[in-house]
Amino acid sequence: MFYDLNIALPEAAGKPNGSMSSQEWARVIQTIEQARELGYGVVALNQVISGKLTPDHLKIWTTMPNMSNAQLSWSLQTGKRTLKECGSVSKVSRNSIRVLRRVTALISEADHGHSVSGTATSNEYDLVAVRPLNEKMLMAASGGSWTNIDMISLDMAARWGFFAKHKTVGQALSLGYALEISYQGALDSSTRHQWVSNTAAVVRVTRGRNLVWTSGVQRAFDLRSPYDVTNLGDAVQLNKDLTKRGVSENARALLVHAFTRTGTLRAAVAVSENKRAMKEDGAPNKRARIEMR
Amino acid sequence: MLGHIGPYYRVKLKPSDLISPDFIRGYIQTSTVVALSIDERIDTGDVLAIDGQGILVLSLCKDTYEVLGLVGEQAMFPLQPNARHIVRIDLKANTMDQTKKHYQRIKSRFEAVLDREMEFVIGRYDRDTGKSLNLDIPGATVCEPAVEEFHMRDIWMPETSRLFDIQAGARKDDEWSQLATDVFEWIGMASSGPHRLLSAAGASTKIAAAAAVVRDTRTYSVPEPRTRESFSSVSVSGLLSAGAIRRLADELGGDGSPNAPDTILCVWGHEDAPVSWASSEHNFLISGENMYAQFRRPSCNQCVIFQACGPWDTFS
Repeated sequence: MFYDLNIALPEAAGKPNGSMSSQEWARVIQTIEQARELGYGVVALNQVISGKLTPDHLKIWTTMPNMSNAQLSWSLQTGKRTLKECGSVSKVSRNSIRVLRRVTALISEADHGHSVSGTATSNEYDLVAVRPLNEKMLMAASGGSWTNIDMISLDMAARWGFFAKHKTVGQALSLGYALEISYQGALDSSTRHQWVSNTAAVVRVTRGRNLVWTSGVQRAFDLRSPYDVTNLGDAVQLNKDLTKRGVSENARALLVHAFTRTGTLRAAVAVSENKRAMKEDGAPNKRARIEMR
Repeated sequence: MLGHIGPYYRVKLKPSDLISPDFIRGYIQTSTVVALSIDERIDTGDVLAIDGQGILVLSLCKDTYEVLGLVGEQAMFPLQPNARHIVRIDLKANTMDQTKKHYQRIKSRFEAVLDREMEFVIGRYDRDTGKSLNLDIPGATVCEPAVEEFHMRDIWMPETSRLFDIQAGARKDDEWSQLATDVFEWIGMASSGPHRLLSAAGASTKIAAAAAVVRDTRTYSVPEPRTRESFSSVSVSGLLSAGAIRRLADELGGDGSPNAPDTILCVWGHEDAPVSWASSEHNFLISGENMYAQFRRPSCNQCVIFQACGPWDTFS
């Protein structure tokens, strides 16, 4: 299974009570369909917010039109998360695609990070990522200041103003966070050199571990197939096996980590619906057992 | 020459149908069966195959293997540990008798986990002759291998006399290696179809005009030294048995007469098959080639073989 965990929504979607026009949603749906054509099984729509995350940020998700051959992880009527089992994360029907919700918080102050860490609103998202805007926030994120996040995302096309250090990034990896590499910056010739420089630095300090490759694009035309992404890793001296993991096994592990964050108690206990617990007429089966995992 | 190549079948089956007593007794134990599921790709999903030796090979992703609960071994590819597992079930073994617990365990797990229908291509062949036999499965569609042929005259081809001017097992120098690479690159172009060679020929006005009609970008030119040759190409695509290919190779070799013409045999394995040559493990990184080409020259009783396996293939 191939994963693209960053299909960007427009900027307006990241505002509280934000809205998107029908043309913008049509463009998003077209991008999702293109991802399915290219062989991706799971994609995540990324809502980039700045400031604190509030329940008003969730309202945009109920405005998405119905989409055929797509399994959404939330209800379009209520906006609530419907994904209940970890196995469902990577189980996709044939000729279908699973669509997840992701939030990326731009962090310039520590308060912003706390609003996406473990709140009821952030738990409605399938993936929570932070994008530190300065070195101090990167160190805070890597050090585990905000425990309930899944991924650290850095803008590969921008000049950072700091160096990615082994110690800092190593801390993030030891806490199980993934580091995101978006190839969108490589598509633009004006940012390509910066993208290569930043990506090579991340690859060097991580040694290729726990990297998740994503598109970060809005338009269907900018999407690339998983095999093209695998070849792109050569440009930053990452071998094809490690690059391919970034669109497959590492991304799957990230989703399991995210589910563990929301669907389990301390990663030890998960309660799932036991179909044997109900009789055919809907009455509870007294002989049902609670499954411990 | 192609008379012994017969049909194969496309059918939707549940994996538990492949281990049913009727299937094992009626087909696996009496003939050579080759099967491959074609629903999913080997690097993204679960692929099942029967390798012709009566072994059911399941190449399973992590989630499926952990839920299935059958004993398998960690796959070599991908390189990440525990990302993929291979389960092999010997359908001819005594333990696959339906009264045995081993069989019942496998059957119950298949029915519980691998319970959806998968589309298979299946071939059944005589063990000795490789001839295609009938397969009586409800819903099976008979498919005939597709045959294409073309003939070409006065086409440039790399000069090959030096290719066979070497003893088997002798050390090959760089020049010979370059020549062999040129020859097999030409063979690849020839097997792609006549339009490739038309655009590369440029040997006469007629051919150049034909190339212009084809509108093919000329990115390949036949290296020097080169000669003009004529040849015929026959392409057979579909599910073929090893016995049928072996018989084809023998017929191409003719009666062993030194005056017989040169022959080239190219064989491609399926890129999503979990097994490769000699039952090696096979997977797909950015390509899944597992092919070989044999260039035979009866006049000097020699054969040069070019083998290509992708990086994720233990045969390479």
